[in-house]
Amino acid sequence: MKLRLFIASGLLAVNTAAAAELTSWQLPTELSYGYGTEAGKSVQGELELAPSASFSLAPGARLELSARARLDEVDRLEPGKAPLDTYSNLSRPANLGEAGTLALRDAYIEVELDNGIARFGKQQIVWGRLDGLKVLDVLNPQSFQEFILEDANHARIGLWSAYFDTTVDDWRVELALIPDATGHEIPDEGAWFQLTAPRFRYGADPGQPAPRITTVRDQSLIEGTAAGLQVSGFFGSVGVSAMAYSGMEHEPLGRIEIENNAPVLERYYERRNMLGLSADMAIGSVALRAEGAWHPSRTFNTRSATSLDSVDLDQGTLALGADIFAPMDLFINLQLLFDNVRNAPGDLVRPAQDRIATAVVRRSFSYDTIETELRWNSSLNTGDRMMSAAATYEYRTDTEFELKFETFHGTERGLFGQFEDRDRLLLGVKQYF
Amino acid sequence: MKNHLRPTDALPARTKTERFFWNITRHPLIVVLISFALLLGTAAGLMDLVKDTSVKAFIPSDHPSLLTDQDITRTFGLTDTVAVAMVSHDGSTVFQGDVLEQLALLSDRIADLDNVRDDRVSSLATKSSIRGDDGAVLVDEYIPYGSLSEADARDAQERWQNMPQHQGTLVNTDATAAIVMAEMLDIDQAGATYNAIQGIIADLDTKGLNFEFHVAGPGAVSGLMSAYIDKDARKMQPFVFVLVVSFIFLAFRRFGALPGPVFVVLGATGGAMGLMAWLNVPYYAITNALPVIIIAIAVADAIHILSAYYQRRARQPEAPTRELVVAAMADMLRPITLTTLTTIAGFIGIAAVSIMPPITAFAWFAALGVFLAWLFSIFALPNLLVLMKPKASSAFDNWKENRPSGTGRFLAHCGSFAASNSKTVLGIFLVLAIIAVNGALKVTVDRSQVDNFKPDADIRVADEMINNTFAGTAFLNIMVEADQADGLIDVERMQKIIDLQTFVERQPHVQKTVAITDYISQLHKAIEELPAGEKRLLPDSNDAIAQYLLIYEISGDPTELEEDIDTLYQKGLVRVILNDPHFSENRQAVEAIQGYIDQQFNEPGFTAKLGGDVNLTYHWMKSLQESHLTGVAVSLLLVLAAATFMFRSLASGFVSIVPVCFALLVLYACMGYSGVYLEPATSMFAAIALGVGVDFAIHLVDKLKEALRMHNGDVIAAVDHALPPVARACFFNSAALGLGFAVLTLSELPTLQRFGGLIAVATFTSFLAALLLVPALFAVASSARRGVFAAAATTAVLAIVIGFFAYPNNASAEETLDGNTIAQNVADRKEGAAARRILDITLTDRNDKVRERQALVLKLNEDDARLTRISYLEPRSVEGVSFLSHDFHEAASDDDRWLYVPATRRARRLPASARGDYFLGTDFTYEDIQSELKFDMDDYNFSYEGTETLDGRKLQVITGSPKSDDIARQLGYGAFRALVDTSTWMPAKVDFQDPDLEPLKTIDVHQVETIDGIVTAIRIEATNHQTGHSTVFALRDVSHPDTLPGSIFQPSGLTRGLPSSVLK
Repeated sequence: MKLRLFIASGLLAVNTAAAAELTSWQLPTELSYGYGTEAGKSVQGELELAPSASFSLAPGARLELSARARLDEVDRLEPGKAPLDTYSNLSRPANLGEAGTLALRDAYIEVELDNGIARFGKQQIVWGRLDGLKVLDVLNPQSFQEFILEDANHARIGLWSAYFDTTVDDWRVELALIPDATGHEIPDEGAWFQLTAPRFRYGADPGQPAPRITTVRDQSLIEGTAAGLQVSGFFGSVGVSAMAYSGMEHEPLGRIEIENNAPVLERYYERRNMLGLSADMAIGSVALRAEGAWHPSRTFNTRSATSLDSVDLDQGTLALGADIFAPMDLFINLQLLFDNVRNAPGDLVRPAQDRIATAVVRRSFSYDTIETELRWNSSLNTGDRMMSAAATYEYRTDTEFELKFETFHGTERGLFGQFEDRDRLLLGVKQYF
Repeated sequence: MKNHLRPTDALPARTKTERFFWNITRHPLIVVLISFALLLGTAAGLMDLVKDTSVKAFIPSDHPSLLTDQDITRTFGLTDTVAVAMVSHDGSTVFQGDVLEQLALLSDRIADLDNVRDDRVSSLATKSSIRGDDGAVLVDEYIPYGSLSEADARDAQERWQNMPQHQGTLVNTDATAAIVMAEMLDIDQAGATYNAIQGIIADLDTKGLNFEFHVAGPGAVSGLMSAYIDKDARKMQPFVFVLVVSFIFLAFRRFGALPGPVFVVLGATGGAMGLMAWLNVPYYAITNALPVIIIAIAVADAIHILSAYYQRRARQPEAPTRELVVAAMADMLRPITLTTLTTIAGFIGIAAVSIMPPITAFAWFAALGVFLAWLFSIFALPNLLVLMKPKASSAFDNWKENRPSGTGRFLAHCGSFAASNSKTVLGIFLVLAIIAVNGALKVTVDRSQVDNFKPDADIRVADEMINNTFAGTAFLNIMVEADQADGLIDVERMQKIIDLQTFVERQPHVQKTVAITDYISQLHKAIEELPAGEKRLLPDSNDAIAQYLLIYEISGDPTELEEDIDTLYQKGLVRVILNDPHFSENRQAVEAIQGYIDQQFNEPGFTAKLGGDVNLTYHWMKSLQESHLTGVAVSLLLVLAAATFMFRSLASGFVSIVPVCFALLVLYACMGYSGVYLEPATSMFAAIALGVGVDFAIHLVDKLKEALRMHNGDVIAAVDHALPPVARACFFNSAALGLGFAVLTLSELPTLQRFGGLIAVATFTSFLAALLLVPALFAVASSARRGVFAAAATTAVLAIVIGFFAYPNNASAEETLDGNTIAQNVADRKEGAAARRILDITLTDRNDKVRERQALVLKLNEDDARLTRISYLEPRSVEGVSFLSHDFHEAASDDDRWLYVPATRRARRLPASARGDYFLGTDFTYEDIQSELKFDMDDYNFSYEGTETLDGRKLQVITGSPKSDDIARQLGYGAFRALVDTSTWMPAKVDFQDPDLEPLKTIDVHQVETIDGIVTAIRIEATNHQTGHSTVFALRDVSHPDTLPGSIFQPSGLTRGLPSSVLK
């Protein structure tokens, strides 16, 4: 039997080797240096290699592979080994010594169907229409190593999953099955972008010492599997999508356990269910987008002076966005998010309401060789905000330089204000091989 | 033993077949003599065999391209050319006294050769310059008679510098090389002429001259090729024959075994070739392969019959020879007849589909040779055996104990293994087939005669050198013809010829065009004392043209213009010189020029036609490309039908052709992996593989079916019983042929090397595939329900899909012209249902810094909208970025646009008004890109501004202004002025102004081609006058399929990526 299996594997390997044809590859290499202007010290000196390749296995079947290696000489973003305990065993990146990681980002086979595709393997599935505001883009967790400052594509964590995308009459139907229950990557204590606001620390005040933290994942494969369905279509020129999703939370909840007479903060994950709607349309110079989500009985932490508990509450989220092609070749993107937890008790760890506004102004110069961008994010709850200014210069076809400055304002309890002393100047050069 | 006592003419046989063979062996000597006489009679025709190894032979005699070519040859007396180049070692000029003297001597001596037309030698020594001198025209020889001073040489150089038509043709542009072009009388003598020219060069006094000499040219290449193949084939074929005979000896270890197969081979080959000569069918270049296939089949028949005979002889050493021969023949009649019929069916398939006379003739005479091989095997061979009474062979000693030989047993074990492990074996073959398909897909259609020589062969080196140094050695001829005498004495028509030359000179690989217009222009400049330059200028009146021609004929050599214009001034020749002879490289130019002639040149009373080797090669290679696979597929289907009919079983028919299908795949894979392209010679390989390969399987299937009946369907037992003798015969057959033809790989010529190597591969592969696949398929079939197997077999065979191309015509109608009409005609210009193009984008900024990008552009025209998708392929930083637009025809509907950036993995909706934004760093707006150089009738008010001439073309001028400020702002244009070519309804040039009516940018359409009947702008340049930035769009790999998948034009399709069918 083993011999047959061996022969079959051999034949399969020969077959694959013969049939697979490298159709494209690239190796973007980025060197970046970050300086904390407020703190007066270097934040990062990072080399990032992100090789990717596409293979044609047979007509209608291809294999996509991509990985990312990060080596940070300064190592202040995540000092020491990266905290990877929120990853599932299959998805966990490898630590490259104390100051680097190697992650497999995509490894999937895509098969063309009569009216669509099917993908199997590690991949990112992106639903939703807004930029950065994750109302419906919830199928993959993300890394908060650089809070929300990293490109969504970089921050999003690929999961092992099966994805079917097909067209039925005029409707696009997408189905995702995700047996990989990896959660968000959350920076450890001491990280540059350590989340210090109480809402991320289960209600603990900034500066308050945290107990030892452990992470538990006690769901079976089936219990931990997420599933999502999205149906999209057009009413006239209005694009509309409806989705349903059920899966484990990516953001861990907390509970206090006593081990050896000492409190331990145990991070754990609950299932959440969601129904969502989104739409977009273009009117003249403006493209409008909207997303809405409803989470029935979502579990949230509550904290009193003596205990850390949880409560199930309904949550509704609505976000609106607009792309405006303004005079002087300016591109302006405005977004507004309202999030409300119904019947929230007073001791809810997170605010009962979140109101966030974002704005992006972008303009290209010299035939897209220079691109400049101003970004502004603000939590309307507390008025704290983040601003960044960036310029990218395409020096040659495959070489880009980037200069970026990020600054934060607000209270240490606020969404953005928690990083008030984390202003950063970034210099980067990216070379595509 | 009782039979020994019978009289020799008694009838021991009981079956009809045995009685038949008993009867025909009654008078063996007479039958052999009759056969021999038949052989001599048919082979006698070989004395009159007519050779036709020219390129033209591949075109049907009534094909328009051949008729035009013959017309051109008749009118202008063009024949095949040999080119002799003298090239400086050290960059010194040819315009030195002693160099010109040697050039003149070389030219004279070449002209003196018997096979060279002395009036058709072109060089500085035979051509004259034209110049003006105070109102007079001076037509002077470049090299005057007698000794030459340096002043003479300098004078010649000055005159040459004012003769654009002689630059790059007689002397290269930097004057470091000169060429002598000589037309030959008889292409078949090209080899001798080539050698004679080498002798002349060796005799030249070149001491002190830093020049080297190279001999090439299409005539030399073609003639030498034919001579070399003949010579090498004559040298190598005896080796092949000896090796084949040696293997027959090895198989039977008796000299007495040799005469039979040799006689059958000679009878079949000589008979087929002789009948070919009797029927006046020429011996084409590819006919060299004909003896090969006939030898292969004839040897196979003889080996199988001899095997059956020796097998019986071993068992019955004392039996009368005639009885053994009759028994062996009766045993082998069926399989040999089966293989003959299936092979003939295969060749008929090839003959029926091909339109190329050499291939059709090859297939018919191969079928005839196969039939003759059967005829000689059935009638002559048994009688020869009866006469020679071959003794028992030691190779068949085992059969004394009714036990197969070691080779037979080994092969039977292989067959048994395949039957026992049928699924594994089929799986392995499937994997190999996938690998082979991968290789087969790499096979390309191409041809260049010179590639048949080794890379370091003198003639190949010379050809490349001449192509690199001079205008080239590949010729395309365009004959322009008026409908009456003196029809070319017309300024407008001369201008049309110049316009045609201008267009042609923009095509890839075209280095030069020379026509009568060049001489008229030169005379005009001389007489009017206009500045010299490359631009062709014409006089104002028809009379002036007539006078110029008269002046030239009086002043110069009256025969000098006979290559350019006929004596009636009705037909003219535009000679187009290209620097690459490959079909793949010149295809685009031929199609573009033909499109131009059809759409822009031809008019009542004045037409142009294409001729020349480049055009002929284009037509027959295109024909090969379109018919080759169809021919192979039809052949396979006919073989399947014949085998199915004869075995009365579809499953058996299927089993019979599977091995040969596999062998064909392997053959194509070898070609694909080794870079051997498909051309007429290599297209024969498939026919040979088919002819050889199918026989092995048919023999095995026939014997296995018989054995299965004996063993009640037990496949293993049947294989053990049937395979040893038949597999052994097939093995020696394949070894004899395979190794025999492998000898050809030792040839000097790559053509013969490829031929020998690939035939050897095909032979061995066919045998091996038959040996393993036939038992395996029988085993699978016996374990599966017959109906299911038959259905699967039918499905598999019918899976061969043949594609055909449609070439719709594009017609344009003359209408009353006004702004709206022209704009409407431009808007109505046919786009085709769908389009696929690769777009090479070159961006140049004001500092001449260049950036390049590449994109795939897909379009689909639906009833209500035009759908456009542009996906970047390069550079890596933007790879995968895609733009999608739905441009609705209805004015009230806003267009829909999306942009997909792979990093975001999301298709982002863009506002419709962004159509005036510049597309990803280019000087084209989104609107420019998706509009196909059309003006939206809802966006502009149009005005007609008369006509304007651009590059010699008379173009209609329209202007447009946006209907509202809002539209102007959306488009980014305040107005435009366009020059429209009404023959194609394609703008040739569009000047745009910005909303403030300042000059903004110009779009120039540099090259237009008609592809699949669709007028397509191939090269477009946009120059922004405000920024100094420019963008060039160059389209390639353009096709217009009937449709494209609608899903790829949906936002969902952006995230899904492109299906593989579209990426190909």
